[in-house]
Amino acid sequence: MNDKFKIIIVEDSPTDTKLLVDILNSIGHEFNVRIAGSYRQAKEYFQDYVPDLILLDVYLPDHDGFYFLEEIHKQGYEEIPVILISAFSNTNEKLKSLELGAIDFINKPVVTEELKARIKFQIKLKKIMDDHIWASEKTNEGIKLLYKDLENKNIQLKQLDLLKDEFINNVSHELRTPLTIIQESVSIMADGLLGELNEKQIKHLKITLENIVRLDNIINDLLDISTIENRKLKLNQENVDIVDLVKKVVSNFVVLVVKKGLQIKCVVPEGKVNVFVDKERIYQVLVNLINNAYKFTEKGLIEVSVVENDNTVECSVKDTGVGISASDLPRLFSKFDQIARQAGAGAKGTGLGLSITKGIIELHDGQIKVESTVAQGTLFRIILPRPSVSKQYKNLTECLGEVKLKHNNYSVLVFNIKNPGAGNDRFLDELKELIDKQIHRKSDQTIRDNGSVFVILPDTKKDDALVVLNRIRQTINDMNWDKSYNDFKGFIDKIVSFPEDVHTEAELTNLLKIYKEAI
Amino acid sequence: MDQPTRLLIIDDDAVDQKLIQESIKKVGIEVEIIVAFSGEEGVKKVNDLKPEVIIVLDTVLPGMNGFETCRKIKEIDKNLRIIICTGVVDAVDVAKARAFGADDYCVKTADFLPLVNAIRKLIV
Repeated sequence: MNDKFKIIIVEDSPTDTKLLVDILNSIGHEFNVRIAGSYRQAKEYFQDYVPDLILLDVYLPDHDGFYFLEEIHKQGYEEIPVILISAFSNTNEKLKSLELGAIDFINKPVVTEELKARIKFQIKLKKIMDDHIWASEKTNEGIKLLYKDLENKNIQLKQLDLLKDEFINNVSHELRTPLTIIQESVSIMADGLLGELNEKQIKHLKITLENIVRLDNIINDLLDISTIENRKLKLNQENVDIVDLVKKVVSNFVVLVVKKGLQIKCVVPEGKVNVFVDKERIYQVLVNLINNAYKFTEKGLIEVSVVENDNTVECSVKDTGVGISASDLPRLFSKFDQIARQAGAGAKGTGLGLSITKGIIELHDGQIKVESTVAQGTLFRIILPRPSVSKQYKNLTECLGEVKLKHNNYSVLVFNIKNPGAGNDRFLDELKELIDKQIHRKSDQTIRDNGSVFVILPDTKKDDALVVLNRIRQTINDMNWDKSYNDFKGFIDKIVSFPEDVHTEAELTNLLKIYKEAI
Repeated sequence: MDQPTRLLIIDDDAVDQKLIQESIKKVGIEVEIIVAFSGEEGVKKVNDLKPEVIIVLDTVLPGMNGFETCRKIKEIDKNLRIIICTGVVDAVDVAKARAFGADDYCVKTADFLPLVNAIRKLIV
């Protein structure tokens, strides 16, 4: 700010130079002035002294002023204002110098007041420019710094959030153990095993037990939300008949709902509708949604339905309850946020239910949508993708990948149906259930996958696998399906063992595909 | 330097005051710190205690704002260096700081590093 205004006077006449310097001195601003008697000298100054203004006599001993203007242009100093001082005789000369970048002219002989005004204007202009540059530099720098600061804070917040999640997870786990012990002890007492109790004592122990269950539910919710949020929740996906699942959940609610004077209805397509999901988790979701409908509905109907679309399966729960106001809808799925809905008895919860539901559905690559009108009712729609072949194979390869990590050898049994087609795949479901009952080792896995049933047997050599296969064949025989069903033509089975038959996972998948196509 | 430079910090936020002081100490800048919590108090302390070099100002202050305070101080002694340090960056504010005579402008970050650098630049 306090920098002096730098001027170069390019003038060969000492008298004129003195006049110019006198004028500068009379302005009352601090100047730093250098005087060049020739173009060459002015050029030398430029190396360590870039002026804010040049006062240029057009006629110099070595070159003329036009040449000088061209030169400073070439050297990239076109920003420096140049005021030409000359006895201009014609307009052409003026135009030419304007083209070359001069910004102003002073006629010789110099009129003091005129030059003073021009220079003052240049000083003012420079200050405005400097201020502008200063302000924009400071602004840019500030924005960058603030941005960086925000980024850092964001990282810190994320770490804190992680810490909080871990904390919730750990605490919930720790709470569970003593709670289980309390539950055991209270149950023993309530059952009268420690001596007879009077009615009041029984009543209070029952209240205690009920609240232990409530507390247990809350802890489960907390654990669920933290595993979902840490992306640690692993889905155990398989082909599941959603119609059957919906019917099961609804039947569990019938007594409760009817007791409250409500109706509950199931609207589902005939036959099976398969989705590739974690059965237990989707069960949990359905229970959650129906329970919500039950809690917030005082009269009318709860309707649970399944609809098949081209690429999705939609499952919805509709009620005629109190509804949710439009302003509350956006917060509906957020954690710990219980919107103010008037609820009946037992409506207390953790406020985590819907965010758990949403988390589970999103893990399935699905969507959850809600529509609601206050005093009319609410509709929750779950949209799940239809099972895709590639994804199911991925499920098999994932399982195999995990097995391979822990075990050096394993065998896979493959069952394909002899006459695949609509309606016949149900035999594979039944086969899976059958095999699940047969295998006893925890590490063994049955996967209903892509029109086949796979049984993965870790640490099992081909010979031992054959024993297992024969046992399963025997069980299938015992079922006499071919006698009960006209359309049952039997299964084709195969054993693939690692490392006897295949050496890589890719080889295995490939082989399984070939078996499938061979049917 | 026989005697450390006297530095006046004008900021109504006591926490910021403390953090600024700690940041300055941490990087080893030797100054004697004087504090003021309002523009009026700052102007008074400039008159009474005559800090030699730097004044640090927040723009948003109770009573007289930072810009006005800056101008008042510059009226007392135009050679006093003033840094405006604020939590928001606004091109208009920055230009205003310049117009009111500030020598430097920086943002408040969590570590106050920009401010510390600005102070260091003015002390050397």
